[in-house]
Amino acid sequence: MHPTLDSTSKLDSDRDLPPAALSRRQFMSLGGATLALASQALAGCTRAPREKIVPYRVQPPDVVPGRAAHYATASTLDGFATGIVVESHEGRPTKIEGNPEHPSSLGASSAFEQALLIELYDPARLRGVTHRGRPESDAAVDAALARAADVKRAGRGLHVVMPPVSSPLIADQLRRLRERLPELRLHFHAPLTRLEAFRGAQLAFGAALETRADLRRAKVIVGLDADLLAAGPAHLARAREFADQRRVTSATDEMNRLYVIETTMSVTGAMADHRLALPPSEIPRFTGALLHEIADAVGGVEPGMIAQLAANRSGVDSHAPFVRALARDLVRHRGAGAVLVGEQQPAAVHAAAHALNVLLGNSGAALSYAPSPIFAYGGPEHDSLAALRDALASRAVETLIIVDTNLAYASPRALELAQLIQAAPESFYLAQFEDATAAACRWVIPRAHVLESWADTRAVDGTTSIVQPLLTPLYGGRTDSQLLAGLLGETPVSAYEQLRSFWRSELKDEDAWELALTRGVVDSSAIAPVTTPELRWNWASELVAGGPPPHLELELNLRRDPSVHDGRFGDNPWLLELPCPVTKLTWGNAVGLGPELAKRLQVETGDVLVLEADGQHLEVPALVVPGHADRALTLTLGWGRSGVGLGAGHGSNAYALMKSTLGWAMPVTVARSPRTEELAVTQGVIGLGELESSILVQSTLGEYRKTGQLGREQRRKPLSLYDSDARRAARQWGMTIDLNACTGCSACVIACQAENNVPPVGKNGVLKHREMHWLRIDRYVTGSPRAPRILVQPMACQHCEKAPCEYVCPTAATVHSSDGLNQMVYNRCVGTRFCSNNCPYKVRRFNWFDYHQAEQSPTELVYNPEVTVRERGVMEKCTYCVQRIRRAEIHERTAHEPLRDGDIRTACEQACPTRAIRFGDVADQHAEVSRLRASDRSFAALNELGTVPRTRYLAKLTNPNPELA
Amino acid sequence: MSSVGALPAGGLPLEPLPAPADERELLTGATDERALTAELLGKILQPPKWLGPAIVVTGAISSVLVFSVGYTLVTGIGVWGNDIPVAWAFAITNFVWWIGIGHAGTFISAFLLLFEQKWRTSINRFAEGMTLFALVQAGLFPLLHMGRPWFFYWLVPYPSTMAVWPQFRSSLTWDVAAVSTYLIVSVLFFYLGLLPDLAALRDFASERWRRRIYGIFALGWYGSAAAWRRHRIAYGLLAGLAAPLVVSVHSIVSMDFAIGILPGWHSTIFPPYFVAGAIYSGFAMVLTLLIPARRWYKLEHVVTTAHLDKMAKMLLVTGLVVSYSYAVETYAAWVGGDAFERRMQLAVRPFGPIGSIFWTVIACNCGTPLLLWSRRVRRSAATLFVLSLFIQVGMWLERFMLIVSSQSADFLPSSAHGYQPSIIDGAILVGTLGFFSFLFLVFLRFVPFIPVSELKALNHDLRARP
Repeated sequence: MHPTLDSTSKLDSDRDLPPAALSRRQFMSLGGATLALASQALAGCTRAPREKIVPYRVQPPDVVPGRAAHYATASTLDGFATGIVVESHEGRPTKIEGNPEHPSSLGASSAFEQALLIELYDPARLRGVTHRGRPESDAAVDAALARAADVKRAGRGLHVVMPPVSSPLIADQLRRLRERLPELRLHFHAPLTRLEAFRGAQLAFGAALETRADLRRAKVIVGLDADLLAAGPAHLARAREFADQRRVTSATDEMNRLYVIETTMSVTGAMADHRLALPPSEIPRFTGALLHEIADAVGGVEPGMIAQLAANRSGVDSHAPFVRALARDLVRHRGAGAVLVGEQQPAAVHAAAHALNVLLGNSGAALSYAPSPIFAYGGPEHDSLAALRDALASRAVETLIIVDTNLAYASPRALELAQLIQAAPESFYLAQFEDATAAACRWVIPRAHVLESWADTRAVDGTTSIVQPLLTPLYGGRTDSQLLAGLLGETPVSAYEQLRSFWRSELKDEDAWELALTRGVVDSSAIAPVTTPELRWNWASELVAGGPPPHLELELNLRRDPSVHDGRFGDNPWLLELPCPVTKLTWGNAVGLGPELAKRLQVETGDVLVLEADGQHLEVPALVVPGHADRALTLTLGWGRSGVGLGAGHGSNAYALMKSTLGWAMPVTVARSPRTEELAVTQGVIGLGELESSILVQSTLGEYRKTGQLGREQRRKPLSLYDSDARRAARQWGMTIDLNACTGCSACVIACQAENNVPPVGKNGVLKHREMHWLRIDRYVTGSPRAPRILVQPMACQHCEKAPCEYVCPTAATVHSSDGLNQMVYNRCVGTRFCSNNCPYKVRRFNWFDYHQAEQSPTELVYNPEVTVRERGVMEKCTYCVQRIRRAEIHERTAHEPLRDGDIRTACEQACPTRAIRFGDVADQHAEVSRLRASDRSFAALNELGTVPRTRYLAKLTNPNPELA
Repeated sequence: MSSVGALPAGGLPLEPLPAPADERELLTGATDERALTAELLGKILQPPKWLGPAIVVTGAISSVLVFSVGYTLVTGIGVWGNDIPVAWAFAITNFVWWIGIGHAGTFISAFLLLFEQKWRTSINRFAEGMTLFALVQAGLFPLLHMGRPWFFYWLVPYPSTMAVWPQFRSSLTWDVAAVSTYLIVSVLFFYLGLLPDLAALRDFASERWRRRIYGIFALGWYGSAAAWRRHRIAYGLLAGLAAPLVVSVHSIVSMDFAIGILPGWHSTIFPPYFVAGAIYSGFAMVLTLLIPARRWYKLEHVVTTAHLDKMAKMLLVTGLVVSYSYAVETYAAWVGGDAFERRMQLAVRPFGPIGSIFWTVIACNCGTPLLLWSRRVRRSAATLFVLSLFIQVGMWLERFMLIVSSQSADFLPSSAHGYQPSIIDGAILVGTLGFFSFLFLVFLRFVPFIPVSELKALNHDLRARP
């Protein structure tokens, strides 16, 4: 396989030579072992690796120290895969990117995928098996598991709880487990359940099908409480498709139109051309009204149903003009529309959306339907938390096995699972962190991180990825499949052996297997869509009667949290400090409410409210959210955890108010607590002020077509007394950021943090306005208070050609490079901070303390070795990822391969789901970035200051429906 | 006293003219030169009883400075309240304020000497001492507020092995040159003027050790005509050097802001405006120190009401210049057409989050001096003392307002953020006040703070005239 190595091995017969044919996999285990040994020296509590450590006396042929290697693998969230590519330096993963070959990624990644990296090195990870808090051996837990899964008992009293599973290997294991232990009870638990979407498809089509959207084929998109650009299993791909239809470069270009009907302002709502804020319970009624209008126009609905829908509309239809205009727009674009529903909406709304899409001919065009890759999709195991509760309460559970789901915390408190789990005579918990469930379970088994695991997983369209490890488990964790193997009574084998033997039937030869590993996807593993099934109409009464009674005073809308999801990322320092794209809140959650309701209740942001729902109380600070529906409150899940983690004690636990996983909207009453709490918000609700057009240029498509001009003022070159720098290199780096594509999702913020070793500063740091993010997303609120618009503008160093920071530095620590970079020389910086004062964009960040002093091992392993870790007292800022530029230039020189446009991608650009950020050589007329700079929409922020920024923005355009103008 | 000693300070020998009435007011009471020497030097050799405890108390307050500076150096300036965007706040405010206070000393010593103002005689030593100690406080801040103060010398042009010079386009490197020059010239000027009095103390003191120490510092001064002649020439030359420094130092300090592009900073009026402000606050500080000292040292016949009156007039003039500068700044913003500048001057400063500070500044710095049109106010020591405190508070707040408001709301609304000082910020300010007082009291204890020889010359001059 590697003849070069074979020949070298002949030179020396020493036994210390590396194994002859060193495959990459073996190398990884060696590299990982090296790391494990290093961490053992630091931490002193990991097992000695079995493998022999071998120095690079003879360098393996595919390893060059200092040159990163990249491996494709996949991460899984709520059962669905996103393909990732992990960068590794000498066996140490340092960066996660999206896998361009993966249909749910298309090369992009979200903040969650990016932040898996810091989770790997979290010092709080579980480091060994414990039984009732005392360390135990792996053999002991294996024996206990074998006892629990004794085949003679047929699994009586044995309950297994795990997140929804798409993994073919685990699905196979579960099938065999059921055969072996017929009495075994399975429970699939995801707090952000998709149950209503299952049921909606069942109601409409009689089968639990997944809806697949291809937004490239949709000219009119309607989101019914659906955060379709920022949440859900394929949101990265959907956001790309959506943005591709909005990259207007000339006045003749077409653009799609997005309508969003939602309760709180979401990332998708902020991108909408038309947005209607409704409390959750009114969305079914709205959907009914829309269906009624469409049925009127295109027919195809049962007459009885039409009458029902009409009756339901009368008297309450205050949004008639909106509904009519939307309906006409949808009808005009028959076959080129898409109506999508958020997962928390009741099944009938999903069914109605299916009906709408079928009636409008969108099914088969932008939308298609396919079976789900999730194991037992739509089955009772997905809705069995109450059954589990009953079983626990009635002592019918003898052994409870919880796999990778923080059941005690992330479940409705009303179910009292935290207490009931403790009552189980025997319990096992496979987890990464010491959390509430770990405290309640007897056996706690460390789980291997995804970057330490061999596994398989499937995207929402069924595309299968083999999950390959980047290093051996740091703390001897095991994978889910290894745990299940114990229940199956199999002799313990490595996760790799399990996976390889399972896949041997499909990926027969080594080449096919290696190809799947290399690409990160298994060829043609996607599930084919089915022909759109016949519509059923038996759900009409459910839609009409759906939702809480109309006299409801206030309703509470429980949502996923953009930073910690359902609590899954609750200890992740990068995500804890990631400002919410809409509210800019960090380090906690707060109950969102609209400005009018806030006025009525006489509360302001930071005032603590006492929410009461169904006898449960929760104290939570208020946060006024522009564009929030009146008569409703929004609270995100995943905060307010007790215990020891980094996120513990921050925010309020919304699970305390949850009744069951169903029916997220619930009646609630509000009282004012005398307390106030300071919320770590990075930007308040701010407008652009009178100086709007010098900061951000925006217009409508219609206006642009009429005038053909946008932001002319912002393109004019300001007068200057000074010539531009004559010492110019052939290449001149620059960036464009398309505000029409940017959703503000903040994936780039975490990508930048990971790439550039940016430290988190903690809640106090944020309160003092000392965030270190090199790239922030500015968020402005414009428009009327009733119909506000959110504008986002990613803001990092603009690399001004005439940089105000440079001439004020007394030590020449910030200087210009000949290829147009505004460079920061950390070694030369004494920290006067004059540069920050003089930066009109305020993108410079100062190390107020030594932020790395308190770091616990092995956190330091996360750092990118190509980027300096800055010491106390120096200034830092965006470098345009200069390390990537220089690496590419060195490669160009040494490999004699000319650099092409797009070869260098900055971390933010690479992560961006919508490709809003483009980087390249502005001196090259053919480069994409030059083309975009020359477009009508290009403008410079604060152009009149004469800084001549290298980063240009492309103006924001909206495409309002003329009928609703 | 020889006739050389009778020369008016720095002046040429002229025909004696009748001394004007207000000059006669400059020295009242004892007219015998021997008695003057005995009285003034006696105050150094037998200090008043309150001085010892006062030195101990201010020394204790200085230890607050030592602690808070030490804490800052060990931990990092994150212990201050600064943030992004407000990266400069208390430290730079304190720096500008203390430097400004330091201006009055040199102004009195050098400018008034060159302009042959006799009233400088009794107070110049006092003011020079104040200048030096204010400079010590001021010099602390540029060092301390760096992120890595241990590399402060990188701002100094020296032949470094790294072959990197300071970046001379930055006003911070100009600052280093301006402030260090000013400090050196001020020390020389102070010491040169002090020589004859140190010699007098050496001769006057009875204990051997005192004579020894003062003798060493007197550098062998024995009061010959030749020595006096050279002393006069050197003193005049130094005055000529120091006078432009009064103007240049604060002009350059003002450029720390004026070369920036921030709205409210980027302004050509800053140099004269800052110089006037500096002299304004400096004179206020002289009054603050002098009024109690003259009373407790029973020096009303040496530092007379006429002195107070003249200093009050200086306050009035500089106060009006400062007020005029405020008006011009605002007016220029209004007609200037720069929307960001207009917002800063017309909205953020007067009506923004720190609007109350703006109006306090206007009241203290523009309102207070107007009272000085009244002769009664100018000649009332107690009133002047209170007014001088108001002016100093006003000038500190002016710098704070100017520095913080521009940073806290510059161009992008997204980066606007306020500033909240930390307890360490406050401790450092209080600590420098304590340390300044401590140094000043030590100065009163050991150094002839009224220039005895010059005063005797004045006495001689006044008596020689009809």
